[in-house]
Amino acid sequence: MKPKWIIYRAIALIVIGFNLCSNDEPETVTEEVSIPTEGLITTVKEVQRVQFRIEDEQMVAKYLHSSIETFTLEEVQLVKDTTTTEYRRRSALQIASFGLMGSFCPNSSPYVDKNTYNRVPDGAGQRMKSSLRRTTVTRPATGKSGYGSGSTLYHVG
Amino acid sequence: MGPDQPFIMLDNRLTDIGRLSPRQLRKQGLEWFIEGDNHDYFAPELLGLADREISTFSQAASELYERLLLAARKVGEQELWEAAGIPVNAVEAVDHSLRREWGNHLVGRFDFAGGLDEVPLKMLEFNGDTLSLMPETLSVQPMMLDALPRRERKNARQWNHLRTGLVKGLKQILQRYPNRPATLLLIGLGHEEDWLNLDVIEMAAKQAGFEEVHRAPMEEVIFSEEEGIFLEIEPEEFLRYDFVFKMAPWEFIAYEEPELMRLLTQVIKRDLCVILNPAYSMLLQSKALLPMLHELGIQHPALLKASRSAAAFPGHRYAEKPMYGRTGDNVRLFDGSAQPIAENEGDYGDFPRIYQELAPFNIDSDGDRYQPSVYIASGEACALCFRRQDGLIVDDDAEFVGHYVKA
Repeated sequence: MKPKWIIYRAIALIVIGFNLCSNDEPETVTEEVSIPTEGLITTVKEVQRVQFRIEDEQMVAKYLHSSIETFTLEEVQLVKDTTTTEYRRRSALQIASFGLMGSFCPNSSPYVDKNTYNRVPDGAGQRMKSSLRRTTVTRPATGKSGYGSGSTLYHVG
Repeated sequence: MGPDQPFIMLDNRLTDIGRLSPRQLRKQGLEWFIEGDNHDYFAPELLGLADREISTFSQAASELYERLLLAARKVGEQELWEAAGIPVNAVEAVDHSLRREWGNHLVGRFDFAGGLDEVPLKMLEFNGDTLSLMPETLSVQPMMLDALPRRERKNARQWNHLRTGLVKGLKQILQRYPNRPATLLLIGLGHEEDWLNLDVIEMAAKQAGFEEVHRAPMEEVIFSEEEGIFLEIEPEEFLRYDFVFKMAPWEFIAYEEPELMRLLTQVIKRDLCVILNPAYSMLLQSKALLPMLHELGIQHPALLKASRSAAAFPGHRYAEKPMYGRTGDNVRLFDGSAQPIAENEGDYGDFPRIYQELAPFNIDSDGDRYQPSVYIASGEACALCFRRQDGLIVDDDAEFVGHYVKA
């Protein structure tokens, strides 16, 4: 199996892991996997051979000799069944996943420098987690609608 | 207004810019503002201000906002709900909101009188719950600035950071609730102007990091006291929202839709959804808070004397306003005699009244009066616009007047 498929599989497992960790779903859910809109792309920089640090929140691997490789979770999901990868590339994606998942990364050590770490907004990892899944549900059992249809006081100021 | 009205004209501050073309507005989806009778809504002049005047507006608005928040807290601590005009069925939500949602107030707009050329700046009211004028301020004012003649345009700018303020405020709210999916539902009552104002919120929300931002008229929204707030986004497929921004006043919900008020009370008490502006905004919106400021020991030079009784004004010179009135509806002005010198009809006739000292306005040589408005977003004063009226009460017929800060 090609090396990059293993990388994709590793990321896919992390994504699936988050789905399993969620414990606040209503019982009657159907799930739709959406492409996340935040934190999708983490830029990692190889600071020493096979040692990567997060440079920015974009999943773009920059190697020591200036080559660049971009990965998306969509690609990850497409190739999640593959099993081998190049160690160097896997290292890049592993460190990227720390940035993407936020809550796995309680300190700035995976980042190139503290300023980069500080640029990541609080809660970004949690929001990333939520953006991975658009959870739709069947009709709420107790909900009511139809309010406001006969409004007479409609000025908002 | 009245014999004390200083006759300092604003004319020398006005620069002709011509009328904005419908095509310009159409490009931005804002042509609604000049349709039909509103064709002259945007004034063909810009009002020039100096930096120090912007500072005066900004400082006053920031200080007054702090005082209103302080008053709201004191109302809660002392349970002065009735005096503050909070209907019985909204007390639980407002009380809970004060204790658990403090800091969630996103945006509001002060309406002032005066502020220029020695006319003292006075606060008329604060639109703390729902507000209009956002698209005009955010999007049309810059178009007006671009229309300035070249000589004035060089280095001219506007105090217009509404979008920045909204983005900052919405980011702060997301950070306050890091475990919630960033799903936002914008609710309107179906009026075009409301949607245009919600466009501004939507733009800011997306920039702030909200991932799903949808909109719906209130009648389509499903409210569940046990499960939260939902919208049917596909047939038989429902999305639950963790954040809602409503362009429907809290008092409308309390008075016109009491069952919904009960449901929303449970929704916020059970932490099922963050509703913006929060329920305590009802206190900020209520004009009944104005007479209470003095009673609560809160003072500011820009505050007008206000009372729940006309008897507090023995000279019979005051503005009479409904507690939850908007856009000048049901306002009456008295200038010493039993008959009002100006009076507007409206939909708010059933509300209790408050009485407020008359305030002098800046006027031009046509006698039109200028009402400055200052926005508060993320707790800070952030933008300015003006309206002008050829009558004594600034209402829905007012023109929107942009401003520029002279280089």
